[in-house]
Amino acid sequence: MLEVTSHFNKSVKRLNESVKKQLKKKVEELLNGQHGGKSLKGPYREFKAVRIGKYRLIYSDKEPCKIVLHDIRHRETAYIF
Amino acid sequence: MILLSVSVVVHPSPTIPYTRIIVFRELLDHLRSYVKSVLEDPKNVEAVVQELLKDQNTLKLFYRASKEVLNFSQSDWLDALKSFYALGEKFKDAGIDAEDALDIIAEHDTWKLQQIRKNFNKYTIMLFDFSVNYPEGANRYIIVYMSVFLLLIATIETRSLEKLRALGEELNRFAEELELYTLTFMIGIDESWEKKLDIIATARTPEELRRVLEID
Repeated sequence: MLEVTSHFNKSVKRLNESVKKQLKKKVEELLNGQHGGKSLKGPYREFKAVRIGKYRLIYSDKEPCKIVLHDIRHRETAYIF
Repeated sequence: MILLSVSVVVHPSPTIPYTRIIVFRELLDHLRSYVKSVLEDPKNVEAVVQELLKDQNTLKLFYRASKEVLNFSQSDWLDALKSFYALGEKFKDAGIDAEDALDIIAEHDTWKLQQIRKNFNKYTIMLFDFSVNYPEGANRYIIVYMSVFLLLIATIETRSLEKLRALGEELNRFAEELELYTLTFMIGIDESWEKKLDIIATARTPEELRRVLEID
C-alpha cells in the first residue's frame, strides 16, 4: 500500500510528465522491494532517499508492505547571491 | 564550505585578492603529505582524514580558509563553480562518470554558504542540535566532508588516469553519503517540513497509483 503526504502532493504537482513517469516506475520498484534508498541521518533516519535523475524521493517504509511518500526534491545548485 | 574553492585557488581568478590566495596556498602546503597518502591509496582516505583531524595547525588553516570563502564575491564563486565542474572532464578522460558527485558536492557547498549568509542563526542552531544529539552522525559528517575535500585536491594534483579512476570511484561513494547529509540538513532547517507530513491519499491499485502521482 502507498500513502502520500500533503508535502509530497504539493511537490508532485510541480513535476513534468516525464519525471512523473520515472517516479511511478521507482515507486513500483520500491513497492516490489527493489532498489531501496538509503537512510537520512540523525533525527531523520527513519526517512529514506532514492534518486530519480536529479530528483530525490524521500519516503519511509517502517511498516511492512507500506510505503509513505513524503517529498520529492530537485537537486539545488541554485544561485546563492 | 570550502570544497568548491579548491579548484579556483589552483587556477586563481584575477578578482581574488592575493592575500586570500595565500591562505589557501598555505593550507594546500600543509595538506601535501595527506594528499600524497590519498594518492597512494584513495581507498584509505578515511584513515588519512582521521590523521588530519589530529593536526591542529592544518585545522586552523582550514578554518581560516573557510572564513575566506565567506568573502567570495559572486564572480569568485562562479569561477569556483566553473573550475570545479571542469574536474568532470578530467574524470571522464579516465572513464569515470562523476557528474552526479560533482553536482551533489556543489549543491552541498552552495546551500551551506547560502544558509550562513542568509539564515545564519537557524542554520547554526540546527547544526549544534545535530552535533549534540547525534555525535556519531556529526563525526561521520566531518569524515565524509573532509574525505571529499582530500579526494578533490588529489584529483587536481594528479594526471594519472589510473589514480583518477580510483579517486573518482571513491568520490562517487562519498558524494552519495554527503547527499544524505545535505537532505538531512535541508529538512532540519525547514520548520514547516514535519508539519506537512499528514497523509492525504492512499493507493492500493495501479490506477490509484497513477491518480496519486497525478499522471495523465
